[in-house]
Amino acid sequence: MSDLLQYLISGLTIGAIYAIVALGFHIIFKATEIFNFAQGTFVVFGGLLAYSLVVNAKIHFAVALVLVVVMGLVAGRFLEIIIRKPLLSGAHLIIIIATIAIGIILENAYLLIWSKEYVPFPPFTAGDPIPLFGAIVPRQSLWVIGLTVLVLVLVKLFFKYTLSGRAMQAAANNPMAARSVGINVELMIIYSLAMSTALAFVGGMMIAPITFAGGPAGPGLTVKGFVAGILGGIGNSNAVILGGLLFGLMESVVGGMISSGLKEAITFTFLLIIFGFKPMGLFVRAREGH
Amino acid sequence: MGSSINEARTKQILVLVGVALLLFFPILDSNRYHLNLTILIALYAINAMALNILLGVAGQISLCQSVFYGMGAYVSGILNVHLRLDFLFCFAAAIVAAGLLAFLIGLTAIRFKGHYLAMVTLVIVVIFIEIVREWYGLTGGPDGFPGIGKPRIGPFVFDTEIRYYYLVYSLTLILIFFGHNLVQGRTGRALTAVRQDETLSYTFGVNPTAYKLKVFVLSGLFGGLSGSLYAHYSSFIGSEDFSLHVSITMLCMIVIGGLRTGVWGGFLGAALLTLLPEWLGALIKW
Repeated sequence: MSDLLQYLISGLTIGAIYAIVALGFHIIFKATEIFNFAQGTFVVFGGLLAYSLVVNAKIHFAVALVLVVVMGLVAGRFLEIIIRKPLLSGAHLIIIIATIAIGIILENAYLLIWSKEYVPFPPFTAGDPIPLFGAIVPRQSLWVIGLTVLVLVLVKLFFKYTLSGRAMQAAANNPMAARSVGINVELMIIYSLAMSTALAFVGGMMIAPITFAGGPAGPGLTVKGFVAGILGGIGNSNAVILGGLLFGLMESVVGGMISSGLKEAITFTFLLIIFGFKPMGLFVRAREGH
Repeated sequence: MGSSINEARTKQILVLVGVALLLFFPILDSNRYHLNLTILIALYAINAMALNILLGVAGQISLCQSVFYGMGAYVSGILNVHLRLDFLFCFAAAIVAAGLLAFLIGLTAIRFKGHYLAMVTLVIVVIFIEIVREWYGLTGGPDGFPGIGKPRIGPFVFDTEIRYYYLVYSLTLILIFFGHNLVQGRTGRALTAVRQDETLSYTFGVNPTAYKLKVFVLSGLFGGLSGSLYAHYSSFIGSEDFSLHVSITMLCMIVIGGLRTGVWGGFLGAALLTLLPEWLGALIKW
């Protein structure tokens, strides 16, 4: 019983990161109808930037978090410059290849600059894990879950109450109509990409103390975030977040209870079966879709 | 009219020159390293051609070509090493096994389109690689699978690069001929109809689901064939040879060589993406 609780806690922690990656996919997809297959690589890159700030430059982690968000926004701007041409062409395959290529280049660059190995990252607050009904909760898990909730609430509030957020939604839902009321749709696409990379960077910084920073973890995160998003139902932000959490829980429970070596194979096989029944995702109604 | 006849003539001459070049290449340049690269190009070209028919003609994206390639390689290797079976039998079994796997995956994949299809096929790669890594007794796991025998037909052993070159290229040319006819003929037109408008294709009497499944199986058969050739050629295979990265490289090959170029674009892309890392590697050393 306490074993299961332990798996649920670690599943929820990693699920929070998948949820953030999946939300990044969702925001870009809403704005541009494409998927950014470099998303996971951006997560790892954000973790490494945070490592340099916190460990090398000895900046307080709260300040580092803000700096990482700013860097994420800037990175999103550069991403937009690179993929603008393929975006205009509208060919799905070209964009998939282009973002995969960006991911590969970025990954090789940071493996060269930082380290080929995973680098240890100190937890945000030191201290023993907290016992809970026979299981233990690492302090970093609390940070990850808490910060994820905070980030998600901020994103929701941004989309609901700020003029930019509402303009972004309008531009995503109907670019033509949005243009006719004076919304700069291209600028909104830039905002979406910037927001998505900023989310990825924050996710990378939060998870780094648990999984370590750097290493060739990017493509794996991309695949899982993407699958988690589709599991929930891309096109609906709540569904995407639930998909991320559910995927994390499934992976963790399968890994602990059945086989840690085959956890991905089993989880993915299970998901393929789910997709056979609910191709649009678990948490969207049939007509809603994307 | 005259110009189109001339064009056809030019094409025929180009093809003949190309085939002649391939035929005499090992005699002109018997450097083992160069032959090794040309053999790898042919193996990739077979996969790229399969993807080009699947994606360029029929419009179905697939990220799991490397799985069929790997399935062929592992089935061939396992039968050869564990059961000591003859090359021809391993070769045939590899093709059948990869085709069967493609049929099973295809049954799921035909339900999806676009990005969703990309995701489903991508998940297949992750599952395949993990099973290969974990099934230690059968596949050697992360250490790889060594000791696969050189192909042997009767008393004749393909044990040198030159012999293997002719084996691989004769098969590649047969497949190119086959693929070319397929794309130019009725099947090609039906697949183009499926790509352009599935609903409309119904009205022409084309069943898009059946055609999608067929072309998926075709990509599996091509992958299995090239995979078996690769396993017997390199005699050592590892799970990295068939990772997602390989699938993506194959996709890049047809994007660089040109989609909808029928079967030739994949060959150019395969050549470029096999040679480029070698050249660039030499450049960095220099």
